[in-house]
Amino acid sequence: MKNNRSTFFDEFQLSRRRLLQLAATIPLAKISLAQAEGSALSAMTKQEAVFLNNPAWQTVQAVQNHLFPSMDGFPGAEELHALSYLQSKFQRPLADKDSENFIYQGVGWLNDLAKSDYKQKFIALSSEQKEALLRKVSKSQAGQNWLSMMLNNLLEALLTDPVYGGNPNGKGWKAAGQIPGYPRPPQGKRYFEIGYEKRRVDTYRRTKA
Amino acid sequence: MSRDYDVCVIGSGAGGGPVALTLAQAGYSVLVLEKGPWLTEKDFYKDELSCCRYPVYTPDLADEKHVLQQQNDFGEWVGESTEASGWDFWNGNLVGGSSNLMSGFFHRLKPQDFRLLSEFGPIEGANIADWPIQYQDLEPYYSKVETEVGISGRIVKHRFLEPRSTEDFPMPPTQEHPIVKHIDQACSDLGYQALPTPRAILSQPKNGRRSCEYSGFCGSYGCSSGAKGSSRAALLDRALQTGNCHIQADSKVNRLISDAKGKVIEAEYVDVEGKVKRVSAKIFVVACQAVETSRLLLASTGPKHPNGLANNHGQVGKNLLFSAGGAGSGDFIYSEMDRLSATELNKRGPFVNRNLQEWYFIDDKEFGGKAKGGTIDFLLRHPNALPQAFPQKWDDNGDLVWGESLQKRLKSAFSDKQTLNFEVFNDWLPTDNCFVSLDNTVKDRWQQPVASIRLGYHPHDLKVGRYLSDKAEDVLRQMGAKNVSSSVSGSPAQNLMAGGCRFGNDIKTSVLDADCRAHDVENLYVTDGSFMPTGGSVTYTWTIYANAFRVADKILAAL
Repeated sequence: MKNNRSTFFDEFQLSRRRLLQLAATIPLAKISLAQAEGSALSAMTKQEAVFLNNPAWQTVQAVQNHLFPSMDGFPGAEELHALSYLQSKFQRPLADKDSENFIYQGVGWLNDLAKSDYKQKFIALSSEQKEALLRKVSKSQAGQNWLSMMLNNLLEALLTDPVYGGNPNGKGWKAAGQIPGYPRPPQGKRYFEIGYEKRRVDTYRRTKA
Repeated sequence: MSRDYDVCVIGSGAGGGPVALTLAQAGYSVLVLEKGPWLTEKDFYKDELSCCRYPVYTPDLADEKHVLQQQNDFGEWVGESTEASGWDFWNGNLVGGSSNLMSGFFHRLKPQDFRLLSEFGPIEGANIADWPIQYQDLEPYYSKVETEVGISGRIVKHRFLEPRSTEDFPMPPTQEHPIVKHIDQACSDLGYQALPTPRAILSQPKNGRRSCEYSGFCGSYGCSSGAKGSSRAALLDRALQTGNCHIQADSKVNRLISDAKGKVIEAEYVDVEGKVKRVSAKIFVVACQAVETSRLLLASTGPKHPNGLANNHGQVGKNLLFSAGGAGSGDFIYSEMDRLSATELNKRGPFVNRNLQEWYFIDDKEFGGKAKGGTIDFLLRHPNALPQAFPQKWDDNGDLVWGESLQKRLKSAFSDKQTLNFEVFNDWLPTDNCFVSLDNTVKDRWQQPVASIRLGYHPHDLKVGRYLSDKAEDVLRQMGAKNVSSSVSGSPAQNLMAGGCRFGNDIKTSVLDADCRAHDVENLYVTDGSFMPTGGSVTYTWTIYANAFRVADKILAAL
């Protein structure tokens, strides 16, 4: 975040590439179905359906609900539309394929661990088991990166403008005590619809056509 | 020989805008080439994601990057691409440049800043040099910027106030946050004089620009009212109205082509579709911000300039400057005050227009006698929610926090307190270890070598920064702040850059002459912050604007 002096770059601006370099330390266990289907997403037909039907999202949703539960005075992941917020990121032009794959990779890893520790998939575990498993996962660097990414996306669903699909009616802002700035971004002026991001999308479409 | 334009200006920020406006108003044909996109007030919103989670106003680092050289534990200089490190060195590549994204906190240099070597003597390991011009040469242009760009403020007499040709600013200060009275009181208790901070932000409408609407999201954000005095809103929009100025956005200049006599004849640029084009002009003005200006000159070899344009004495890129200093903060806990005070402090929008120049010149035995000091500026935490929220997911042991405890931490971070930050600005001494060169192994998306920046600093910078930060911490404590802390390091603020093409009277030690024309290229001028041999102890933008207006008059005389 820049004020007059932007002396330090922090995690907020940590490059995706570095994050993924760290992610590469994940043991390449069975990434299985999810990953296989993930790579099939480049096919143009039924793209959306394939994407949304990916069973990995059920696990992602369960993780989100655990990390950000609905509490008294605080909307949980579901009320914040956190899953569709995250999914919509990967359905935008020039979506970040590496991050998407990292999510599937982590899901595969999480379920492998759930099966070895509890003989069940993650979504079938009790709240206590989920907590214990996620704490265990967070002890490894790769696991921590994965959970950190999940939390970042939850925080985005909580605090970014509703035009991006999370934070419905500003309920996340209200819960946290944040006053938004005005004017707020309308459709057509979202980050991927202006400036360099738009240029990248335009260039991609032009070179493809 | 016919030329496409009288003047071709490369870069549309604070260095380019004054030249384009002055020459277009005088009837000359001006082309402004800008690498980035053309965004206006209609594109700027208070969006948590477009600032600064995604590179909207700067290139994707996979496409365009820098190499940053830092010293490792063995004293070796090691370069790393910014694409790998994520340390983004771009500051705002759009029409109007990074002046679109500044917080507009403006100071003039002081007369002594123009002769740092004569005033304070040499420091070992630092290439300190006096400027070839004096404060009085620039003063009329500092005044001109107050009216042309629009600076709001209020003059208060103090012992280091620079001489002025006008009584006061052309418009009153922007609205001030209630925390200001606490700063004033604390400074008064300590015997310090808190000064109103001038701002390149309109407190009244001007030239079709609206006055500030006080969203509170100022620094790092484009201004949707037009109140911020960006080069685009304040100058280029008016240059366009003359009918003599053409702005070509999305056009990145690869190199300047010079002839057998050493004169620049054409700029070669690549447009948004990747087509390489050329344009000719009588005079070329380079203003791409310090690092990229040096990169462009180094990349522009020619028959008379085998090592890069204006680089026959190896001076281009040398003595790069940032702003030394540090930053700190203190919290004001709402539960420790009455409800009214808490409501006041929680207010969003108005500015903390306060700074301290009490130690612009230090005279303190504890410090070691007389020395050049600096400026302390106060500001509230930035209201973008994400940079406040993200750190909450880590506990003090570096473990991730989630669930109810995360939610409690968020609520507390947003609602329990106000945070007052301070920033310290002192001279970044020029040294042999801070410079720009070309990296021929790392290329941008157009296969051009990128700028490699060695980021060495002088230890004296930290000593001054620490001295000033301690003073600023005292003010926060006097105000009753909790969790007061600060950090001073040699890690540069990349948005505060200057130098690399210093001006001077000797071609062996400088790139530009006193008029900011290249010593050995008769039709090449540099008008961004590159010209500065020393940077002073304030942000650079007002000085860059003023000097660019000064050089514009020199170009007018030369045309």
